[in-house]
Formats: sequence, structure tokens, C-alpha cells
Amino acid sequence: MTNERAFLHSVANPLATAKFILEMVVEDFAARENDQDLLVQLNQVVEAVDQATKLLSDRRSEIIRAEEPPGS
Amino acid sequence: MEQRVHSLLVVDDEIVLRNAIAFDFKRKGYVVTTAGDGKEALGYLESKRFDLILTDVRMPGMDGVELLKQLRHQNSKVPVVIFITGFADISTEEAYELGAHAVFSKPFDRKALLSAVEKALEGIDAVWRVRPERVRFEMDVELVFPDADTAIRSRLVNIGTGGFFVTLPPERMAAVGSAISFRLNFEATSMGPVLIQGSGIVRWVRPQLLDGRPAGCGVEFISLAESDRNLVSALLKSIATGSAFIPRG
Repeated sequence: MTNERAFLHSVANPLATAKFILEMVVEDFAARENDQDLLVQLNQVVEAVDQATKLLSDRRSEIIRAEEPPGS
Repeated sequence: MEQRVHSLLVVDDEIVLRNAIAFDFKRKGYVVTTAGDGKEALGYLESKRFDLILTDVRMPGMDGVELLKQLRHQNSKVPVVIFITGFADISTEEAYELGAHAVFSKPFDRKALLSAVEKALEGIDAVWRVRPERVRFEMDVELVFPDADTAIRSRLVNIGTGGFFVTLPPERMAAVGSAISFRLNFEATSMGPVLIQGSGIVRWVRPQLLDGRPAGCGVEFISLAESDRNLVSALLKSIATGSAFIPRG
């Protein structure tokens, strides 16, 4: 396993946690009438996390296309 | 009619994610148990019955692959949803081959996970009955195989409980996530000629020959006609492809 694979693996886990909890929180805030200003701010964080997720996902696709399977 | 409460087992060594997933499903009415690795999960499985297991792959102690192998070794049919990173554990293709009902690459979409769990709990047959409306197919796959046994032995095609592998030339390869319609015509099987047609979604792609395995893609069934559902079940018994949800081919 390359250093890059190990690094990306260790990034994927905390990012998954952040994304999951954030999506849960946003759903709850979206249902509250009085917290719409905060929801706008939260959605900025969602965008940032989604950008990081896309970067990771794109790199994963590149690695899969170019390299050996992840278990090797 | 009273709705049955489903019980889930969430297995992940990432404690914050594990607890967040458990919290989310609990508030949606599921009964949730959590475990930090495969060994702890197997301990719970000795005394409790679960309707579905969600498990990470790479964990200290017993990992998710070994957990799934042990479950299938015990002939357990419990649906398993697998989390991978795809960097240092296993590929999507390998996860489906192990019998996973759904595979999610971390970081994954929460609503997609909730939906996959609901779908897996409905049972394969119930899911196949639902013909999706307004699906735009990105590809029509129509293939004729003179003999099912030969086609499967030579890895041109293979069928599992949740979908199929099919060899496709690189210039006709579908992209992951594409919706396709298919007609697989087996001119000779132990049951006579068999035509399986329906719609599916491409879950993984092998763009070129790898370790002796041909280029092709794994397709999960979205819908199958009623007669085809019976045929697929009978064909699976006759060709004995094991428990692969979508076989690797």
C-alpha cells in the first residue's frame, strides 16, 4: 500500500464522520423556522465538506483507473 | 397494521461515526446495537437476531471482510451494508462479491445510506417488483449466450442474488452509477432457453483485463418482470454462483 493510499484512507474516516453529522444537523435546522440564518451558515460548511469529499472521490477514481486494487 | 421494528447492528471502530449512525437510525425508529469490531459483532450475533448489519471493512481485531465471511459460512442471509474507503481496504467489486447488499465509499451520503437500508430490509423480491418510473437509460445491453454454463465458465457473464456481471468491450463500457436496460438471452440452460430482462444500475466497472478477469461491469438489478424473478431464482440454484450479491465474473 502506498503512503498516499494510507493518507487518503485516514482522511476519509474523519471526513465521513463530519459529513454524516453535518447532514443530520442541517436536516434538523431546515425544519426550524427561527434558525434560518444559522442554516445559511451551516450550508456553507456543507459546501466545504462536499468539496473535500469530491476531491477525495476524484482521486479515488484516478487511483482505481491507474493502479492496482486497494487490497494489494 | 402494526409495523415491525427492525433491529440493526452497526460495526465500526470509528466511535464517533458509529454512534452518529446509531443515533440517526434510533430516532427513525430502529433498534440499534453497536460494536467496535467483527469479534464483538459476532458475540452479539450469538444471542441476538438482527435484520441488517452495517459494517466498516478495516478495523483492528476482526475486520468486516472476516465478519461477512463468517456470516456467510454460517449460511446467514442477513443483509450487510459495507463501508469502505477504497484506498486501503477492498474495492466495491470485492465487497459485492462477498455478498454485500450495498457498498458505500466513505465519506458517503447520509440519505443514500438511509434509503439503501430501507431497500435492503424490503427483501430482494419486493424490490424487484417495483418498476421505476421515468428512468432515463444510458445504455441498452442486449446479449445472446448460446449456453449458460459455457458463458459463466468463460466469465462472459455471471449472475448473483442482487445483480450480474457482464463482459463489455472497453468502448461500450458503462460508467458507475449509470442506469441501463438489459436483455440477457441464454439459449440453453438446464431449464431450457431463458431470457432475463429488466433494468439495473452499474455499481462497479473493471475497465480492462485484471488478474485474468475480463473487462466488464457489475450491475445491480433495479427491476425484473415477475416471470424473470422466478427464472433468476431457479438459474441461481442451477448455476451455484454462491452468495455473491453481484458476482465479479
